[in-house]
Amino acid sequence: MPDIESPSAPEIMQYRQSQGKVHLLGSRCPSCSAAFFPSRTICPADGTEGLEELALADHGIIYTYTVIRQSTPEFEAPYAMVYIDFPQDVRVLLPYLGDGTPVIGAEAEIVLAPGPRLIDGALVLLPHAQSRQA
Amino acid sequence: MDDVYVLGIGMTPFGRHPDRSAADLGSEAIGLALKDAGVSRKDIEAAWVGHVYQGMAMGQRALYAAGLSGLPIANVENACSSGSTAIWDAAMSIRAGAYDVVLALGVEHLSSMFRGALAPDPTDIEAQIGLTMPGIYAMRAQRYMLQYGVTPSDIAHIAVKNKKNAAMNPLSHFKKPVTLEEVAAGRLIADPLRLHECAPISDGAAAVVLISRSKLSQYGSNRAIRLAATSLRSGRTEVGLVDMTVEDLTWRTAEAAYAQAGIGPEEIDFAEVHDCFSIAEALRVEGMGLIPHGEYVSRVVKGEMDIDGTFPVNASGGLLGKGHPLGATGVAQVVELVRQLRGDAKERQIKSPKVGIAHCRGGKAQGVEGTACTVNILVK
Repeated sequence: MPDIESPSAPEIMQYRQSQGKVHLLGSRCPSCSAAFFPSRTICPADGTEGLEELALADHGIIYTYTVIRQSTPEFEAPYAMVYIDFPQDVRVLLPYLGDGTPVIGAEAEIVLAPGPRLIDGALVLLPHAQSRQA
Repeated sequence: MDDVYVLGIGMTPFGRHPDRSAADLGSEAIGLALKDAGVSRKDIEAAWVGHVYQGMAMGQRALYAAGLSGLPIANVENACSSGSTAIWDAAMSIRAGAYDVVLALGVEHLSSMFRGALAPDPTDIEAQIGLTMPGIYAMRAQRYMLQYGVTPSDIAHIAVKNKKNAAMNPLSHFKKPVTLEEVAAGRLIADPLRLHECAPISDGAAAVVLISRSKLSQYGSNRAIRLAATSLRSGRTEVGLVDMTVEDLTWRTAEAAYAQAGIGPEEIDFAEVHDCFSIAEALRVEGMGLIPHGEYVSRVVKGEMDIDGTFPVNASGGLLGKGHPLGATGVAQVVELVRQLRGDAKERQIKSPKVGIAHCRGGKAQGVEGTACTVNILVK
């Protein structure tokens, strides 16, 4: 299966789909190895310019979560959000897919799903974290 | 370098003011501060004005309404630390020897700008996928509960304490205490935080007149309180997987203030801290090294941070009770420290305090824990 680059609209989160798996695209400093999502051009840790692209793993660990019940009109509340710790030492905020409450410390994989963002009244396709046990 | 003193303070009632403008509120706070300081309009050499959502040259509009014009006026936007950054700027001008008598004003008419939950700047990815300010603190609360073994009900004690204090502050947004049961019955905003644990959308203004030590004798005020330290820092870009219950930004700002004042955390008698959410109060006080990490919430439950406790926190009612007109908040905290140190806090007076600390921080940008933080230390 050929790699599919992330859809151009809306370009909220950069990712790549490969063999059915979703990899967020961040960057890594070639000098100090610090990793970032979203990608940066200058390393805030040591000032190196010209960071390299880094594809994050398609899975990580739930560091923390909440269920947002009051939001702004651009979102369909309630929705759960999680911070995922990736093996590349990067923490990324993602919407959570699943009915139950996210469990801190549980493994989650990255999938594409609609929501919670609304654009012109329609839910947008975004990377989500989904619990592996779900 | 000249020492800086707070000579006069002024504050409007915080709350909803649908019939008043930001300029009108700012003007009232300025008038009260000038009167309290015993200085005239022409004595003010320069002014800094903190606000977040009030638009172009709000500071000039407020000062014009108060009858001051022609002097140097600078508008300061630094998220929820805008007002306290105005104090920092004003104090720096005295330390630099540029001026002797200056004004810092914080003002916000937030109810005409916002409803519901505040969110980070819409250009941040986190905001574009649904993060709100309550959401950030809710996620930090989840970690705090897990790491330190406390419950949502334990954390709710912070809201109960602050609203009880606010009920004794005539300028508060909220005038009614709440019970633990009422907090628990409030609707969930972002789990585990409920309505009473989130600062309200408030309007209001607060002002201080600062003066150099060399000019102080001319005004013969024995009510002046020394601003022993004023520090400002910004959040550092996070690298790696950090502990979200530990505030690096708060610590670095406080550490700089302790060094400036030559005063350690053990010498501080009371604090006003940025409790935009219940859990935030714990993160701030622990972040400043005033209480060991993970102990704050259980000590609030025991009553140690009550006005008659061993270490009173947010005797004014804090942001949760007194209200949170963003730009005014940092100045209002210093107003409260001065009232307490003068012994003018009436019903909510802390018993003979000598050293108070004010902590104000704000903002969220992608990749940093917070954008701006200020710490002020006042000594009687």
